Amino acid sequence: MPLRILRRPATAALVVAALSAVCFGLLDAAPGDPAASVLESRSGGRPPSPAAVAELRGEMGLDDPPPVRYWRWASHAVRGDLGTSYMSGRPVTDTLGDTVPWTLLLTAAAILLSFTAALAVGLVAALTRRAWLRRGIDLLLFAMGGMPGFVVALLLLYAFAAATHLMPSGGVSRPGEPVTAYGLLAHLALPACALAFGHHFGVYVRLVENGVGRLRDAPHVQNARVRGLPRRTVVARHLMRPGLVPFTARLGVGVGTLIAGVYATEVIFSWPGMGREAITAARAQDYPLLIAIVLVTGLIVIAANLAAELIVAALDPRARTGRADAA
Amino acid sequence: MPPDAPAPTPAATRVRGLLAVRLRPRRPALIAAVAVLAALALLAVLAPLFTSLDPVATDTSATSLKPGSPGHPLGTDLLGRDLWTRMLYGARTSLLVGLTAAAITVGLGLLIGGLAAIAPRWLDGLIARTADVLLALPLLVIVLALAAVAGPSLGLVVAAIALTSWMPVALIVRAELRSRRERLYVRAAYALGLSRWQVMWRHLLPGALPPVASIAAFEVGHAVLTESTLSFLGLGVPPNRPSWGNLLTEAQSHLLTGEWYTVAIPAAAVVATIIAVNVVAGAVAGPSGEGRTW
Repeated sequence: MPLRILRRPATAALVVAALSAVCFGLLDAAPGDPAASVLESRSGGRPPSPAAVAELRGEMGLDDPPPVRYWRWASHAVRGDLGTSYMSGRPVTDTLGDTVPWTLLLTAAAILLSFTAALAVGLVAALTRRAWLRRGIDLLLFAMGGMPGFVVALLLLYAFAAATHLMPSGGVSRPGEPVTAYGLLAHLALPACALAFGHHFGVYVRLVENGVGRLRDAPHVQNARVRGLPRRTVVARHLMRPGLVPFTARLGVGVGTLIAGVYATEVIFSWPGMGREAITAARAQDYPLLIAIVLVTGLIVIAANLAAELIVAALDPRARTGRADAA
Repeated sequence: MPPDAPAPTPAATRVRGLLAVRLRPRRPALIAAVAVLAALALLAVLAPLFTSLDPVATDTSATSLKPGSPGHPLGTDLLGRDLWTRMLYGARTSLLVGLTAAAITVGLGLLIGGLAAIAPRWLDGLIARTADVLLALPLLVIVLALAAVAGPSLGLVVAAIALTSWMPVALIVRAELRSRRERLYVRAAYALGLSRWQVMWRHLLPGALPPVASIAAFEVGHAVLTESTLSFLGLGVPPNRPSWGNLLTEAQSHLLTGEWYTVAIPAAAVVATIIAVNVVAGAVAGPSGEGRTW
């Protein structure tokens, strides 16, 4: 089996290559001439002469064919050199170092919240015999399915911050105060909820519900029940373990969907992460920074996908053989 | 699943990605959804009949009016632009983007999926692999970068949505066509001397259309959602053109100052549209098993 397992990292590497090519393509297609902007910043804003621009283009290798330039860009990127931000003049990597941890914190909290809640709600929906409860969950998920993440964020912001002042409306600490553990938790709650309970939440609930629900009356479960095992054991060992494989398999993609919501959420709650930075960069046409953030987001998602696949392979022997329909 | 497990009910096994959450098809919900969509479409198409005001004209004598003010049923914004008018013209933009983007997405998906189904093995593999890879990428992020690089425009939003959402359609079309390729009636058509394209058009594609119709409806909802998100972030429809997403961007700062309705009205329009589209899509016969992956 080791060869089969190796195929997944290999695919992931291919995806990374594709992602970096897309990023390079975008950077390359971005308006503005890097050589001209470098000269402009050196001369303090005076427009440079075309001859000087042409000379610097040659020096910077901007006239080389695209594959050569891609290779140069990629080998710099691997060493942590993603260029310099047009806005701040700082190395892009520095800005990433300041913002990515905040985003990771927010995303991790949202993932924990979203997946735990989906597990709980999905189990209830799958196992309850009460029709009204199941219907209530259906209706709730249905309403949530129509809500873009930013609408959820605005709703939470209004309900808990603007109208009632129960929660802080944004940032990571009160203005002028240092970040404390308790304060951070209070500031984290709303954005994490907004990110966790967007339109995608229902998908995970359904995956749990269907995965567990279809096993509820399976022979091995009936057998376990008849043997007199406690309900808890039946649910944990005989329903959840096999029933949650589809859910686990989707978690990798789930992380991707969640991270895509980081942009609007961070903007709405003034969270100092890379999502808000990306939007600022996009509006200011700071392409090196923006595209570095796209690259980092992609890498996080690819890593999450790979991790989820390896976990599924550990849980479900059928997935190890590489059959796509195993789960 | 053990072979002798009870067959799952069809409604319970159909999980369809992003817009999977839906009511079990029930008539009243469907009728209500169709009515909502028809009303929105009518208001959008006939916008000038329902208002005499200009959606972008500012009026400094009537700024920040509350809903119910004379002449301004939904009030006005900080610049004195009539919200009702802006909602109507916003519906035009949002629905137009939603419909065209979905149409192009489905067209692209049909084309690529159909190509994959009749192409030689290597090309088929390449297309399927590419679709898988694209599904694994956070595409909203790439659309965002694309919008920033090319500058906001209506056409770009449509193109970006289509380019990043054709994969589920293509994969479903490919799977449907492949499953039909070896059926007796298709082999008979080949035996009668029909060309590949004739078989494709007359015998393969019509069979693949019902699942595609369902996913096409979901794509409309997805496109409306993406457009509103992009516009909300200031990277979608150009800001001088009203769209529901743009209205939300402008209204966002009013939330903390108490004018909640400037946010609630466009947000409600977006949510109502997506929910109504979901109901309709859910009522159309869907593909069996799991379809979408985002």
